[in-house]
Amino acid sequence: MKAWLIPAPLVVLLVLSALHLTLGAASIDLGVILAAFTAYDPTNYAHVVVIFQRLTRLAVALYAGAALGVSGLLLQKIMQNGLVSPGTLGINAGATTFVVLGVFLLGLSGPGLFLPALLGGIISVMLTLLVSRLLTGQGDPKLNLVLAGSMIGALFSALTTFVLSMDPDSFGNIIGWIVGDIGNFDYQALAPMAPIGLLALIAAAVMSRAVDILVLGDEQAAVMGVNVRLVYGGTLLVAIVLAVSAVTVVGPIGFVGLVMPHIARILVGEIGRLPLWLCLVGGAALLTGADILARLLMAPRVLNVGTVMGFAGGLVFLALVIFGTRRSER
Amino acid sequence: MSRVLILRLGTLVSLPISLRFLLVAPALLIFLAISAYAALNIGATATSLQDALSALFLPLDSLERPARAIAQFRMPRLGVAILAGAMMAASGYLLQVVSRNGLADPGILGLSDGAALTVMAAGFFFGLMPGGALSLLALGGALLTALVVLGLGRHLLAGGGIILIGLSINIVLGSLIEMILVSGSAMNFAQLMNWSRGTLAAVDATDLGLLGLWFALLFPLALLTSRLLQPMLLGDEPAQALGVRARLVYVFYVLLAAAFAAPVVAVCGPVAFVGLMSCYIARRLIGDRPTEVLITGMLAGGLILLWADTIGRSLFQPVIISAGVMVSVVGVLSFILAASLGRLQSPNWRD
Amino acid sequence: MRLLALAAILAGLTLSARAQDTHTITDHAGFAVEIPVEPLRVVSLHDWTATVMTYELGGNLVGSTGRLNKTTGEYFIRSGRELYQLGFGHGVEMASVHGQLDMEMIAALEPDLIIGNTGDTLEFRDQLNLIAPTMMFDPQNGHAPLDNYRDLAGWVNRTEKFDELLAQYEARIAAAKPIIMAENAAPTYVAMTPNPEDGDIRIFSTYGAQTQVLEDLGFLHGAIADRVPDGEQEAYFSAEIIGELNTDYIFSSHIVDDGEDETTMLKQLEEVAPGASQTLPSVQNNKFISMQRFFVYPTTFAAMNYVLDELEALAK
Repeated sequence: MKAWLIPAPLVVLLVLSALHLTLGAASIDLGVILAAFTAYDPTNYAHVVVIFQRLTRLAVALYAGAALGVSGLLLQKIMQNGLVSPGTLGINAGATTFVVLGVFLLGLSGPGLFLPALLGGIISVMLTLLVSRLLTGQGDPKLNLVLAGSMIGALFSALTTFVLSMDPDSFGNIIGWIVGDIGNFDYQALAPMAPIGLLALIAAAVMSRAVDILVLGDEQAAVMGVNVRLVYGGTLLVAIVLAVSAVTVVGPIGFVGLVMPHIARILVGEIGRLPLWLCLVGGAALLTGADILARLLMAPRVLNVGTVMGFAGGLVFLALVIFGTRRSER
Repeated sequence: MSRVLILRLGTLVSLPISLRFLLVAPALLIFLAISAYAALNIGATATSLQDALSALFLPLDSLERPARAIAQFRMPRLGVAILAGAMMAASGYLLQVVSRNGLADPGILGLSDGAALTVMAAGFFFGLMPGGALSLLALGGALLTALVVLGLGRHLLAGGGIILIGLSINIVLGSLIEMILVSGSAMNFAQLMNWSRGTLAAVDATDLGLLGLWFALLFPLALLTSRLLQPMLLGDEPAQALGVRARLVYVFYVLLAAAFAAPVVAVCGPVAFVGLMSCYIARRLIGDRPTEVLITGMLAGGLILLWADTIGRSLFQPVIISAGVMVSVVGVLSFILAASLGRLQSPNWRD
Repeated sequence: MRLLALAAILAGLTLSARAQDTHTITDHAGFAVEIPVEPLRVVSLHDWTATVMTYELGGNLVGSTGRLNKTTGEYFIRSGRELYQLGFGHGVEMASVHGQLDMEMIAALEPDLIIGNTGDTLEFRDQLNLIAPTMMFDPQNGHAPLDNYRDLAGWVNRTEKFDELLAQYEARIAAAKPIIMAENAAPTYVAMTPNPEDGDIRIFSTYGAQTQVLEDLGFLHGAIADRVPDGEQEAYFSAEIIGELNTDYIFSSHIVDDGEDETTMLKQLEEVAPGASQTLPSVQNNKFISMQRFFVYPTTFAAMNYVLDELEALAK
């Protein structure tokens, strides 16, 4: 057991969080930021900014990153496929479509969107699994899953496009969300999501051993007294709930769920609870880092963190594919 | 393998043709003709069969509305739909052959996004440009992406790694496109989103002419060289052994695939999955003979895009669903259908 | 078939027989277009600019794009409905759904002049030109909004009417100045709307009739408006800049159909920037003013009169 891996990511996370707090449209001195925490003065506007805009934004980034990271790990473990993630399975796209439909048809907003998003996430995973089964015989089954995910993703984002084009003006305020963005305001949606996410995280920790056994293969797992279907279905549901709770808050942000499990695997393998911990903290750090980049890259313009994740994540994914395949060839 | 008919012309020409192809291809062609005629009669304004006929056979100057509107708007639009579908299918099939993977498609390998990115960036920085210049720009973008993807993926052919490389390049390009998308207002965003899925709303006779020109240039080229497809499917070494200069042919086909896709993207945006779906359907229908798959796939591609556009512009009148959105929805659904039917008799695809 | 062709040729002859006098005018996209001096069938492809302007001047408007009202399923003309009770069916027909041009529907209206919008319809120009001469109107070309409006008045042959309305408006501004500016001869202002979904603030450098009237009266815009990129009407700013909204006035707008009013906008501002109402002088002095959004969207005279009405009511 590499014991230093338990506190080390926390340190990284803390440093990134501190950096995150110092960045923003208005320049605020470090001293003032500290004072906002130690001696909060509600009439000092700088303090209000630090607590109600920067800290809340940071909390959202931390939560969404952690939820997506763990969700990705669970998916990769039960499917035994290093290429799946909430993004590549189409969960994000499905949830987005249903959210946009909920806004357009039912006038929903905020946490009320969780249920439609969850429905969208579940439907998209089922469709992806169905399509990937149909693609069997076209080559690598792992690849089929990703391809099926990208087809279902395209299907749902096409639907999203259509709904948007019906009345672009009424979606003006959520454009940022659609591309995946941490708004100053997302913490309001976070409050009701966090308990759901927390429950899912606890479930993930509890089921961790059963999932490890599942990895050994269905038969082996059955011999060891694990209800394969129950564990598979339960884990899948937990993963979807985690991803959807993050998507409801920040919109479809990809790649945290894809990249974090790989980093964890390189460091500690994938058995036990340590990878879970790494993905939790690391996912949070990754998204926080991406958010910092989103504010710095084209400052004073703020990019969408979803775009930055997509760009960086795409490159990392590319590297994973190239080096991953080379390694397996040796 | 189904029965084969051998076409002989003297001692020089001997062309093996499968009976199945002889049945399926004309059937698709007839269906395409019927569909096109039906599409000519469907639109926002009520028109008679007479109008459609006069639009087809009389000179434009002599026409009155609504026949004139048919000739000016419906005809170019369905012409573009058929050609664009066919060209995307051709591009998809050539990519499938060179990557030796049945799931390749200009959209999946990133060619469309590469072309779309250059077109959008050009529009963003330089404003409106004529279609001809745009398609050359698009060609540049598509070609560059194709070379990067196929260059990186060349030694990963076996595991289908090339698809993954395509997907990841796609994601990178997609996020660049997104940066352009969100830089405008909500209205622009919705419009660009629509275009970035593919739409035929803005096509006119000039666009049809442009596509027609590219098609007339590329299709014979593809047909003439189609006998090289079979050896390429076998892989580099067997191809070399058969006397084919594999490396050269490889580059040629990539170029050809990019050239098929680029003008389509320039005219109506990156219509995804048409290539993948139509070739898949073609192989399910007639088997593996490359030239036959190419032709059948092109017919299927034309049909898919034609129907997607026709349904999209007429189903929810006056609301229009753009063809790209329709392709994704109808296309994916029909793909699922075709795939589940096709499972009954699945020919082997080498990979 | 031959008979049909003959009939068509005859029809073509009658068409050219009633040809109109034309002149060539350069539109906002830089195209020189030959259009009828007195267009008889004008189709506008943008509701809250070209449509309401043509209508206000009494131009021969026969068609406009419309938008779907989700609750009733009917189509309406944005700002036309609000300012002029203008709807479809009384001589003005729907030419397409906004943002989804259908050439056949437009052609069916048999226009002799089409007025498009550079931002939305430029890519359709070639097709539109097959139907009728098409002028592109660009409300965001950087020119003064009323100059653009005057251009359009010329296109539909209503320049005299425009000048008449302009004179009335200028007289009204002159009369309103002493009333509205009684306390302060050069008050500062910011035009904005809070965005409670994302928690940021939309700052406008220009906002239709609202900013037009304010500038004409001699209001000075706050420095933050200069940070909106050139060529754009608006920009999103993080709520952290709330300190820069320390102008005498803040102007916002709300949508009555969504059940919003001034209090809603103030509440949204407070949501986006907690504590703002305590710190902003305009809010403290009751100078946070919200108007009906679709009444102030266009820079037509009816819209500007609405803004003046609101300001005068406030001054009393």
